[in-house]
Amino acid sequence: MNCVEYQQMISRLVDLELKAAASTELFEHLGKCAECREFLDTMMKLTAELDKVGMPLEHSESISDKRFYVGDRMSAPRMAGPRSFRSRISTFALLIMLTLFIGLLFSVNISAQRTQEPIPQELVQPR
Amino acid sequence: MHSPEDSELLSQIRSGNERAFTDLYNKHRRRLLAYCFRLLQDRVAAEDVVQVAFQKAYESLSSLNKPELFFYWLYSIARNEVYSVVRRTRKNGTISSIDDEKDIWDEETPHELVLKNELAELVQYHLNHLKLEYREVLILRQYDKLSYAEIAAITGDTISSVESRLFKARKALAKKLAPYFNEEEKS
Repeated sequence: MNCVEYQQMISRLVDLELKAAASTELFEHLGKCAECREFLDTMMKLTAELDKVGMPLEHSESISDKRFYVGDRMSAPRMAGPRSFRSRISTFALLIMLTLFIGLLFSVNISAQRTQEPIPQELVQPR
Repeated sequence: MHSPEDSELLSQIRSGNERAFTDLYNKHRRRLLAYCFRLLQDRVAAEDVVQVAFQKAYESLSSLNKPELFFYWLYSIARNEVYSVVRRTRKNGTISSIDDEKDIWDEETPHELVLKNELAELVQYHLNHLKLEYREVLILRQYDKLSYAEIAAITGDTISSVESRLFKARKALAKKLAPYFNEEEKS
């Protein structure tokens, strides 16, 4: 057996998938091979570091803790499709509504100004 | 993860209690979301995949012959969805299955890498840049704590293929990170 094969065994060892008999054989080899000892050391460090990277979702889980209701409280599974697209659509719709609203206010203001009665000239002209 | 609880819930669904599916959803959603998020690195896309996976599972429950294997079945549905998303979003639209070491990595930007100072960031960075087929086995093993046989049940590979991909992924990661491990030891 060569070092690559022993290193594959080390990967299984790290995963606790190595059988006892194979472990004995591996540890015999590790006693003699510095390269494989170093590989084991690196694998252990890598596993520890990967564990530190940890779970990415916990802190934000509550933000969108969805529920999937069926039956009498049917809120059918949300249909597939890119949510970001839907968000963009709703943002776009909101922008259009806002523009229309501002335009409406502006036109109402102008038409109100136009319908005001003209100021009598004698009030405008200086005495 | 053979779960008698899943079997019980599935039998309730089959006898007309659809609310039991809500329990199944609540039981597995969080874990499935973490798995999809780790693979996709995109929270919104991961949530969409989870929703689609549950939806598909719900629609095709009748095709599940072994209810005790619901967990693997659900994961494999989600996995297929993840691969579909990746295929749609990748420039070349392909997922490599070549075993050469250089094909273990997705493209990386050296400029991005320079900005990573902390070891944890580097680990995360390199993990994210492993190709999907390597990253998924590592994630299923490292974070979902699944056995080789369980991973094989989800990915549809043989146990030896799972073992081989795990070894290659770890070796490639170790190669990238070994200098930083040594640096940390010295400091």
